[in-house]
Amino acid sequence: MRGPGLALFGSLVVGYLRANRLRSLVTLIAIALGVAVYLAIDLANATALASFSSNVNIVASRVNLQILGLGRGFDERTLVAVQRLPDVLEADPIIEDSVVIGARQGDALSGEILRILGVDLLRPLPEGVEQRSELPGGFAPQGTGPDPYGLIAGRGAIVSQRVVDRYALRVGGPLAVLADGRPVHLRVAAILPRTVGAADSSVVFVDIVTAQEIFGKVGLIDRIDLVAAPGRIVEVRSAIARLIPPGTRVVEPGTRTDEVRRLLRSFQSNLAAISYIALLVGAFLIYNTVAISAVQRRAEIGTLRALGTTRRQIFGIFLLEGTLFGVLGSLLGLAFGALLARFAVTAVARTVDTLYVGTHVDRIVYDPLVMLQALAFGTIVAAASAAAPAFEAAATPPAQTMRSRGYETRMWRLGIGLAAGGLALLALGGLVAFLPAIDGLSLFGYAAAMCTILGASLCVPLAVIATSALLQRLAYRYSSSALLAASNFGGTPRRNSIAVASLAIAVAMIVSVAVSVSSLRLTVVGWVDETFKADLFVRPLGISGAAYDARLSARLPARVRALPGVAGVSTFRGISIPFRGSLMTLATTNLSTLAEHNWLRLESGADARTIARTLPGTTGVVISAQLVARSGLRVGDALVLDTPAGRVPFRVAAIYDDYSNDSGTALVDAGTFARLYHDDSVAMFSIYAKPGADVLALRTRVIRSLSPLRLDVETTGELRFLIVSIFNRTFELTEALNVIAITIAVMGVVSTLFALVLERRREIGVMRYLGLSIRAVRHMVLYEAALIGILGGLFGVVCGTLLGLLLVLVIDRQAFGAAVAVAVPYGSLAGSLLLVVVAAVVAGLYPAHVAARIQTAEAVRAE
Amino acid sequence: MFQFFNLLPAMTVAANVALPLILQRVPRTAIDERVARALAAVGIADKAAAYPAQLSGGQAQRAALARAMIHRPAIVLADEPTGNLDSQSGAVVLKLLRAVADAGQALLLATHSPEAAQSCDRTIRMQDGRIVA
Repeated sequence: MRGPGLALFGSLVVGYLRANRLRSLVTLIAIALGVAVYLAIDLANATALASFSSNVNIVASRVNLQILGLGRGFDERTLVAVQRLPDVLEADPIIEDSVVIGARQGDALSGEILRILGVDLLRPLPEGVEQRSELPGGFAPQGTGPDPYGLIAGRGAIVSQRVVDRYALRVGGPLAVLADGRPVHLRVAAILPRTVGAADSSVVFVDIVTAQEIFGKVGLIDRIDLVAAPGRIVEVRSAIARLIPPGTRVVEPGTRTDEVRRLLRSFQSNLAAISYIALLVGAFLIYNTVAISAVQRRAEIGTLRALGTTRRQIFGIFLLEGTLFGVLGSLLGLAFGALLARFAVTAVARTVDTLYVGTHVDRIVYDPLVMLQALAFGTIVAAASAAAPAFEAAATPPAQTMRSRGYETRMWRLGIGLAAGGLALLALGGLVAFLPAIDGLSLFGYAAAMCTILGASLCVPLAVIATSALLQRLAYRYSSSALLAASNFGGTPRRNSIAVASLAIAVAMIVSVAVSVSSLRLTVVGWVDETFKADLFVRPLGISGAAYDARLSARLPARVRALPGVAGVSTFRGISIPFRGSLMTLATTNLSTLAEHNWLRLESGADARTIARTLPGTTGVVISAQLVARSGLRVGDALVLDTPAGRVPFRVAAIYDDYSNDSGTALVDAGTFARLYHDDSVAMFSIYAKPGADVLALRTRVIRSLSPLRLDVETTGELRFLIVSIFNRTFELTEALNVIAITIAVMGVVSTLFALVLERRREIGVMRYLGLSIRAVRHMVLYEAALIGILGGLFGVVCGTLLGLLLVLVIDRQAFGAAVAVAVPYGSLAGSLLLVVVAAVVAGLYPAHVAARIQTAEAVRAE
Repeated sequence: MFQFFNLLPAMTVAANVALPLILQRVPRTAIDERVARALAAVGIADKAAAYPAQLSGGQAQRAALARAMIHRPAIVLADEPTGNLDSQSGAVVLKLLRAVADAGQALLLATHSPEAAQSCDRTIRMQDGRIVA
C-alpha cells in the first residue's frame, strides 16, 4: 500500500482499533489461541518423532549403513565377516535393549524404561585412527578418564544427568534396575552432559559384554553400525546382504525413523485435523471482527468513497487490518503455543509410547521451520478470512453504504441460497465419505469432515433468520426483552451467524470427540471383557504399553502351571517387526488354549476350536483387523515375513479384533515362533484358576513362586481398570484442545455481542425512551447471547454427531482398521449443549452490563 | 419523536409501532388492532410489514408519530420532527401533528422551522437556552 493508502489505514483502522481496544484484544487472543493449538500439535508431533529418531539413531556421525537384527538378535560372528569385506572402514557391534527403573509393586505406571545401548568400548581401533574420541552419538562422557576399563569395571553404566537427579544416583554408586523382571545391579561410571543432542536422557551406555550378560544375549548382537567407503555404499550394501543371516537386514541410518513416521501418520493426521479446526474457529472470529469493523464504519467508507478513495484502497485497508490481526495474533500464538506444547508433547509422547513405539521426550524440539510455518499459516488464514468482508466493504456503492444497515434485509434470500449450498456440501460430504483411503490415509474422510463443517456453517444464516422470525411470534406475548432479543438476533444475521457458526464448530469438535471416545470406550470395554478372561495376569513390574518388550523365561509359565489351584496358563509376547516400509507387531501365544478359553474376538475365518486344533506348530496366523486395513490381506492369503529361519509365508487362518495397538498384529503359535525366531521367551502370561480356587491366595502363591523376579501379578479387575485408565489418558490432549476451541468460540460471542451493543447504542436509547427498563435491556442482551448459545449448541451437536460418526465409521476405520460399535453419549451431548448455552450467557454478561449503562439522552443525541 | 426518526432497523414498521404497547404488556390481539388503526391514521397502513430502511423520510416520520401516539401518552415531545424532511413531507407530518393536537393530545414541539411554529397553538421562543418571547 502506497503513501495515501497507508495514511488512510492509519486514520480509518488504527484509530478504530484503539477505540475498540477490548474487542481488538479479544480477537488477538482468539487468533493467538488458534495458532497456539496448531503450533503445539505440530511441535508435539515433530518432537515425538524426533525423540524416537534420536533414540534409535544414536550413531556416530560417519555411520552410513546399519545391519539390524530381529527379536533376540543375530550371531556376533557376522561382525567379523562384515569387517573383512572390502570398503568397510569401520563396523561397531551394538546391543539395544531396555531395563526398568523405579518400578513399585502394585503401581502399573510407576516404572520408567531406560534404553540400554551396549557398545564395544574395548574394541581395537581401526588402522589409522589413534583415539576413540566418541561414543555413538558423537560425544564423550563426563566423570571418566581416558581409560575405558574405568567405564567397564563392575558393570559400569554411563547415564544421563536427568536419571542421576531423578533417582538420586552418584558416580561410583549403584544403579538398580530390572532386566526382564530380574533385579540387576549396575554401577554409575559416568554422567552424560545435559547438552548432548544426539541421545535422549533415557539412554544408558554400557559395554557390549555387560549388555550381553544382562539380557542373556551372549554370542548375539542386535545391530552393527558401519562406515562404508564413500562412493562404495551400494556395493558394500549388496555384499552385506549376501552374507548376513536370514531375518537381518542392511539399511541406511534413518530407516527405522521413516518406518515409525509411517506408523504414526494416521494418529498424527487426526491430531493435526483437530488443530486445524481450532484455527478455523479463530478464522471465523477474524472474519467477524473485520466484518463488524467494516459495518460500523460504513458511513466513513461511504464518505471516503464519495471523496474519491478507490475500491482497491478500501479493500487494502480492511485486508491489512485482518493481516495485522493475523501477524500480531500469530506472534502471540507462538508464545502461547510454546507453553501449550509442553503439555501437548507429554500427552502425545505418552500415547505414542502406549500404543505404538517406545519413546522418551526430554525437551521440545522448537524447530524454527515449524514456528515459521505457524506464523505464516496464522497470518494467511487471518488475511484470507478478512478478504471477504474487505471485498464487501469495497464493493458496496457509496450511496448504499451511507444508508447504513439497510441491506441486512436481503439476508433472507441470501440465507436460502447459502443453505442450499450448505446442503449440497453436506450431500457431497456424504458421498465422498464412502471412497476408499489413499495410501492408508483417510483423505476422503477428512474431505467429508470439511464438507460437513462448511455445509453446516452455510446453513446457519437461514437458521438465524428463521429462528428470529419464529421467536418474534412466540415471544410477543411473554417478554418484551425476549421479543427485542429475537428481533435483534435476526436483524444482524451475518454477525450472529458467524458467532453461531464458530460456536457450532467448537461444539461439534467436542461432540465428535465424545461420540468417537464413547464408541471406542464401549468397544474397548467389550473387547477387554472378552479378551482378558483369565483370573490373574503376570507382567513386567511397573510398566505397561507397547514400549517394553520383556523376555521372561519360558520356564516361568510352566512353573506356575504346576502350582495348586492353577487350571491353565496362556502366554503372550509381541515384537515389532518391519513391514512394508512401516512396522507391525508379530505376537505369539499358545493357540491351543483357545479351545478351552476363547479369548480372541474373531471377525472372520476359522473358529476358535479350529484354530486351537490346526494352527499350533504350523505357520498359520490369525491377523488383526488393523493389519487387514493396512495390508489388504484376507483369510487364506499369505503374509510373507523375513525370519531368522528365512523368508516364511504365514497363511492367514482368521481375522480378529485387537485394540491393544494400532500397528496391526499377526498372532502366531508360540511353538512356531520359538522354532523360527530361536526365542521361546514370553512377555506376560495369564493364569486360569481352578473353579472354586481363592484367586487372591493363588496370587500370593504365584508371586512367591516367581521370586526373585519382580513381576506384577494382577487380577482381571485390576488389569481392566488399568486398561481403561490408559485409554482415558490417551484422550487428555484431545479434551484440552476442545476446551481451547470452545474458549476461542466464546470469545467470538463476547466480541460479537459487544460490537452489537455498541452499534445499537442509539436503538437501546430509543427503547429506553419508549419504556424499556435497565433490567430489561440487560435481559435483552443476555437473551440474545442465549440464542447464539442455543443455536450454536444445536448446530454443534448435530454437526458433531455427524463428524463423530464419520470419525468412527470412516476415518478411524480406514486409518486403523478396527471396527468400532457406535455409541452416542446422549448425556454428554446434553451436557455440551447446556455448557455452551451457559458459556454464551456468561459471555454476554459484560456486553449486557455495557448496554445497561448506556446513557439514554446521550445515545439519541447524535443529531 | 426525533428528527432522525430512530425507528429500530431490525423490526418491521408494525413491530416498531407496537413496541410501546408490548412494553406495557398489552394483549396481542389488542396490539394488532391498535397498530393497524395507528398506521391507518398516519396513512401508511400498507407499510406495516416493511422495514425502516425501505421507507422514505416522510413515511418513517409518520411511523415514528404512530409509535409516539399509540400508547396514548399524557404528552408527546417532538424534537425537530420536520428537520430531516423535504417541505412536502414536512407539511404532511405537520398536518398530522395538528390533527393529533386537535383531538385533545398535548404536544410539545421543538423546531427551528417558522412553518412548524406557526402550526402551534402557543409559541415560546428560546435563544441560547433562555426564553426570549
